[in-house]
Amino acid sequence: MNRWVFTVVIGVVIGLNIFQPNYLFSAEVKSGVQDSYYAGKNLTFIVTSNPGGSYDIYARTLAPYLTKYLGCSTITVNNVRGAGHIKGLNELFEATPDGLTIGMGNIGGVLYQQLTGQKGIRFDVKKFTWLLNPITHPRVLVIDGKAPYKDILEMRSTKAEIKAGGGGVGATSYTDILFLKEILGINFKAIPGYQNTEDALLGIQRGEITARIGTYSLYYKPLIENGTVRPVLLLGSKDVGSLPPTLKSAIWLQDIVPQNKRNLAALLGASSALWGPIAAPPGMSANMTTKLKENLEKALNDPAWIEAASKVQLVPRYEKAEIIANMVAGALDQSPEMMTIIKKILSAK
Amino acid sequence: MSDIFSQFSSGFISILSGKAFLWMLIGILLGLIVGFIPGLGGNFILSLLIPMSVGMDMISAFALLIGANSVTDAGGSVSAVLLNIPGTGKNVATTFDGFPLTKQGKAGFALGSALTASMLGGLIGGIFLMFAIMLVRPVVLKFGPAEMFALTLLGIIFISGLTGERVTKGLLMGLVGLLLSLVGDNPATGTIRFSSDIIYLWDGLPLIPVILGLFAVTEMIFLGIKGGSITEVAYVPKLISRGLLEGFLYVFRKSWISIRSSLIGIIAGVLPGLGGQAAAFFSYSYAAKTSKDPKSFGTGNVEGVIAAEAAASAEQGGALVTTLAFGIPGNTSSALLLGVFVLFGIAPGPDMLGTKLSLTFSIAWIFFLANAVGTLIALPCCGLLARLSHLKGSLVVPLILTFALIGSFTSSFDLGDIILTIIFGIAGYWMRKYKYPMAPLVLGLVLGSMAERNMQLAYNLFGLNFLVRPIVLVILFCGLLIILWPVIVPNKSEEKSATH
Repeated sequence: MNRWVFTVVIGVVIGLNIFQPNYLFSAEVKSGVQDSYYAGKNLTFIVTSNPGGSYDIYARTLAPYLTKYLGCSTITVNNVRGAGHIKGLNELFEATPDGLTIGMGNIGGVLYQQLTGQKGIRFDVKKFTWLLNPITHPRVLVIDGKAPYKDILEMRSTKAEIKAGGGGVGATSYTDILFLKEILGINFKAIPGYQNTEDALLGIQRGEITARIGTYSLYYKPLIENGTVRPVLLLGSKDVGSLPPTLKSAIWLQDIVPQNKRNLAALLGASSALWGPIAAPPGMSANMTTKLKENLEKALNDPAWIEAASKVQLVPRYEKAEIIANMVAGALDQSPEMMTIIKKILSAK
Repeated sequence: MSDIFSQFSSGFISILSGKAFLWMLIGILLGLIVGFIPGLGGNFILSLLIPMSVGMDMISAFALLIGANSVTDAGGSVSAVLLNIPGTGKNVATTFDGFPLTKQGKAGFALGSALTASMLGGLIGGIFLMFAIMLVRPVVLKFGPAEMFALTLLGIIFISGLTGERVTKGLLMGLVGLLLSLVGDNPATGTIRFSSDIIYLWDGLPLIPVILGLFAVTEMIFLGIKGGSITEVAYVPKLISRGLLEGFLYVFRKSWISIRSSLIGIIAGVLPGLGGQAAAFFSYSYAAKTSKDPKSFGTGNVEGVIAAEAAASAEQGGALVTTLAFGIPGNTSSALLLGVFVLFGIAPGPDMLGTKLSLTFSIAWIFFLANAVGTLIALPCCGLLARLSHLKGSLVVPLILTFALIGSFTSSFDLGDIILTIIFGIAGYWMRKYKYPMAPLVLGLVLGSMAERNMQLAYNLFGLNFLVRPIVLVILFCGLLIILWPVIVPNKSEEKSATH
């Protein structure tokens, strides 16, 4: 009996080593091979969120279609999470640029960290090889449905302090509030410590905060529809296509930004628009880059992918790599005066 | 009313018909195996299965995922009882009395009690999920950061219940746990503390490697040094089977413990952020403090096993309530499940109590059935598994260490997990050798970051006034009462003990 138990246990141990989750559920190629380089090879898709997180859903939905056009045998989605996306982006940056590793993560969120010299960052955002930029739903500022101000314009003229709940200090949901305070002159008090959008929306329902900014998702829909919260401002790319009906009453930041704050608004806009560009490690050959870009575009234009993406609430649109490079360059090339302002904003409470 | 009943019935029928029931069974089997393997809890099995659920029909996907996640605690209780190694973080408190019972040759009794209590907790949690989901909204809205801070403070006070007779050493270990919880990102300032430039530590010390180090590695070091097997009592299959039955019946004879512990678990689950570990600790400490024989806790009192397991299992039911009704995950595995809702285009929230009520009932039924079926599957396997505690150390040590390190590595697939497990394993050896209890350290680590985040959030929102909010005052008063109880009623516990 001892031997029997021993054999079973050893079998499980070996099994676990061989069948790690990522290998188990990698996408098998179904159609013919398009490119001899990728034939029989595995492509690793690094995402900086947990399984079931937004980047993970995007990558796993896309993987079968990319496999189809690229002709690789499998795509392994590798969840490298931790340290606010930095861990995953470090890994992507340091991977071999052989076309067999790509990834996506919150580049917009780490822009500020690179600008302010955050420790632990081993990547330079400017040096990634950009492939394309998936467009996401806009970031939306919502306020308590019972708040005395109806829209963003009335908020600007309100002198009373408006408590807005964010994630940890440095999280996008926190820094966005600080930037909006400076750009629009709204008397926000940023409250750090809410774990996620749902936690902060509950904070609004408890009456302890009045506002929250975050990427629009399904969680907002019923709360907007029943009047619990009201969308007042949108951030991000206007090229998102048709807006969900629940967001129609909100105003785009681009439409109300004061002239003297355009630089800051551009930085905030870039941070929102760079939700999750798909990138490869730096130094990849031009040929390989072109090959990956072309096949990614083919995958993203596949009607079946567009249908699948819509089902899981993804926006089936994208921007070309050149736009990412311009946005990143514009966001990171700040004058010393602007850097002083940015550091002041980020250190404010 | 008739409409609610028809949704209730259609939720049940949707599980029994088609592929859903089969997927639930597959999920249950996987959940039990993964739960038994140290370190691989609900989060692991969900991470494993969520990618697979893409493309499945919705009810089958939830049957697979919730079926698997619901029984990991039950699977984890087996390794906690037999090997002193909690299968999941929620099973830590189960080891305190479960393992001493195994050493006394009562593994069957302990396993029967643990699995049955886990099942009862799950069933009570499931019933709560079915019928109370519409009533919890006012309660959840009353508990903001200030109230949550007060609750975590109450939990920290409970540390005194885990110290056994070594109060000073226990409190010292609790303090060490609280200090360790400070490692990583400060939520109020964004500064990284006590982490140097090691990115691995930025999100704080991960619990699973710490627990596996303290319990699995430490236990194996001791077993390696001692030699022989975990229990020296002879293996008699009939005794194990009889023990399982006795344990099963004992839980029903003492059903009040399970019901009370399940309620504690449900409350901890409904209040976002507390989680199953805290629920099991709270419940265990409460059982110890209110027992007629408090001194026997930690030496093999099966009531400790029942309290911990029922609470850990029921907590999932409570956590699912807030996940479904508010989109607020009560624990980490619920947070992963939220992603699945999005995958299927469902927004947890008011709709789940309206147009999606049938789906809500289906999920509640899956949770309910999985707990019942899981235990019925696990109980007969225990006779075989109980042999593990009779195997020679030379066979058990390398196997368990391999399992522990694999389980630890799956925490974040980082080499840091392995290093941390080894460091805490060695530290655990010295702690145990010099009789420093480990449970207060784990509770300090679990509650420390929770208390800090809520305190800072409450202070930012209300200033120092957060301390005089009505519910906060009530909770703090309860805490004070617990501290002063031995002074107010000095001899009561001793008298009880002597009488017993």
